[in-house]
Amino acid sequence: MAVTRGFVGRRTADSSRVPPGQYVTRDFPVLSAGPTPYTPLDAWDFTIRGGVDRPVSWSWTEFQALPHEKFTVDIHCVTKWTKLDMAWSGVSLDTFLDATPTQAAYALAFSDGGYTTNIPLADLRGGRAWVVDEYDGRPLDPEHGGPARLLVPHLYFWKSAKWIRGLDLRAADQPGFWEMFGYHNYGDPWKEQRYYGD
Amino acid sequence: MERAALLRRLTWQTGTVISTTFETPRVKTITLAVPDWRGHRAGQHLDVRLTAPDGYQTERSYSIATAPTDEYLSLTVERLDDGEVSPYLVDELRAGDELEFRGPVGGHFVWDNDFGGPLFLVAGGSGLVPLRSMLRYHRAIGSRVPVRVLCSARSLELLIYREELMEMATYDLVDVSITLTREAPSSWRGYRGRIDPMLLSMAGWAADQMPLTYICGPTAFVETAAAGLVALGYDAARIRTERFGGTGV
Amino acid sequence: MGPLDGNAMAGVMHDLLARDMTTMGYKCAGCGRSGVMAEMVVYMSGPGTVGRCRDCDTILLMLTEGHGMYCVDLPGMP
Ligand SMILES: Cc1cc2nc3c(=O)[nH]c(=O)nc-3n(C[C@H](O)[C@H](O)[C@H](O)COP(=O)(O)OP(=O)(O)OC[C@H]3O[C@@H](n4cnc5c(N)ncnc54)[C@H](O)[C@@H]3O)c2cc1C
Ligand SMILES: [Zn+2]
Repeated sequence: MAVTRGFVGRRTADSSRVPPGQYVTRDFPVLSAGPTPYTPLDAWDFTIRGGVDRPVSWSWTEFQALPHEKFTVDIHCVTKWTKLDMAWSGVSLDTFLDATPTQAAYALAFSDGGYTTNIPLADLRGGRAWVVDEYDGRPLDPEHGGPARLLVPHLYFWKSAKWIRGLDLRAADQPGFWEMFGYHNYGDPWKEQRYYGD
Repeated sequence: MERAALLRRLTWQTGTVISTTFETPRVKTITLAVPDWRGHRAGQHLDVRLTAPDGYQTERSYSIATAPTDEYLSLTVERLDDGEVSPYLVDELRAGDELEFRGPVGGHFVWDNDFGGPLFLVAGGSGLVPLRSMLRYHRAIGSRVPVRVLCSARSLELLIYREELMEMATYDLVDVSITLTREAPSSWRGYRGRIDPMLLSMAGWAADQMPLTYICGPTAFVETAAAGLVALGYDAARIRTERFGGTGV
Repeated sequence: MGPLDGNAMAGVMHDLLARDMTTMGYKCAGCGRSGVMAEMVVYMSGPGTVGRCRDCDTILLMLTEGHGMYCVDLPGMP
């Protein structure tokens, strides 16, 4: 491999907080697979459906009224950037799931624009996942997934679906958008589960 | 649904930087010597690949700024302040360095003399790069196709190839219009403001002359120009576009 | 950042298929639009590359890469 003289890339020194194969970035890259949807807040809701007695929805106003947590986490993207200390505010998934008893083991998150991603339900419980509507003290930009996105920081960032509208609870796992195209079904950055078979 | 799994074939080549020159304070032209260069078509680009000492690699596309008839191969790169690759190419790369690339590539955004005319070239910012290759080629082969060029730049100081454009405009068959979107000298006699259908209709050809149009620049610029020309009655099938990403101009 | 178009995929596609693909024609399964690959709306900033119809956003092409292996899906092409 021919090294390009003087090129280091947009990266800073490694640290123990950076999973293998990742590089630290200072900015917040925009990831997109399609046009940015602009859903008016009065038409927005968050719905849990599928393996529940009956679907439950929260309107934007109801979502706003739920207890929000402020927290700071590191984010790891499968495109190899890691951004440290990202400050978010949102509602814990526990809050939603406690209101919707289920026997299901998997969730397929769905979004405006048609994006989906699959996550074991256990990974959405225990204070490890949120629906966030604020980044860095400001309402989440549409290009970063606003008005609200899923945030599951312990998995690669494609699992943190932008423009989230709900969860489809299922007994059996079903691959989402990137998972269908060869990306890993679970996506643990510390195990470098990037692609199918990793 | 069709699916094909493919192993990448290695087609990367290396060129040596012969010189670098500033076009504006933020834009540099990089001239490369490439052994066994197999030639290109006006409008094509290269994919440039940079490799860090730890193996990290990243790629970006850059249009070829020179004509197929020119002796050397040049790229013209605009420095984006928060960019990863363009600041390296503009600030760090120097004569004698090697640069890895793949290309020339792209068979759609290319111009040949037998495509008919008249020709309308519309550029936003560094979108002028592949169009400059077309203009140089047009001149070098003695094409009789009449050309109108419309360049949008923030200011006269930020317009690339300024002298060359002025020189090209002295050629009978070539008409150059410039619009300045941010600041214009008080003595400025060209256009001012962002492109819109009015400006396109003044600088371009009448739709019934069946012009062949090339539009290149930041994504939003290209969308605006293409929509404007279609609204003026231009045949969409005779408009070719290339988007560089980003926003603005 | 704003989406690109099919020209931006010229290099990788040429590399994989050993010919220029930007002039290859397609007919959109969603709306019937026909065009060439250079005209697709292309999103390259995600885990993979997604090519969509300029008129109706239907996905026409998916390109993903892992371990030096490329996978091309053409869900919207004949
Ligand atoms: C077919 C093709 C031909 C191209 N030809 C040229 C050329 O001849 N000369 C040239 O200078 N560039 C050209 N580009 C753009 C070039 O490939 C890079 O996108 C650009 O240099 C930015 O790379 P970067 O690594 O510096 O920025 P990145 O690190 O990729 O991005 C940094 C920031 O700049 C934004 N950004 C990215 N691209 C642009 C853009 N084009 N305009 C404004 N903002 C942007 C990003 O959203 C991001 O916020 C071409 C692109 C394509 C697809
Ligand atoms: Zn369509």
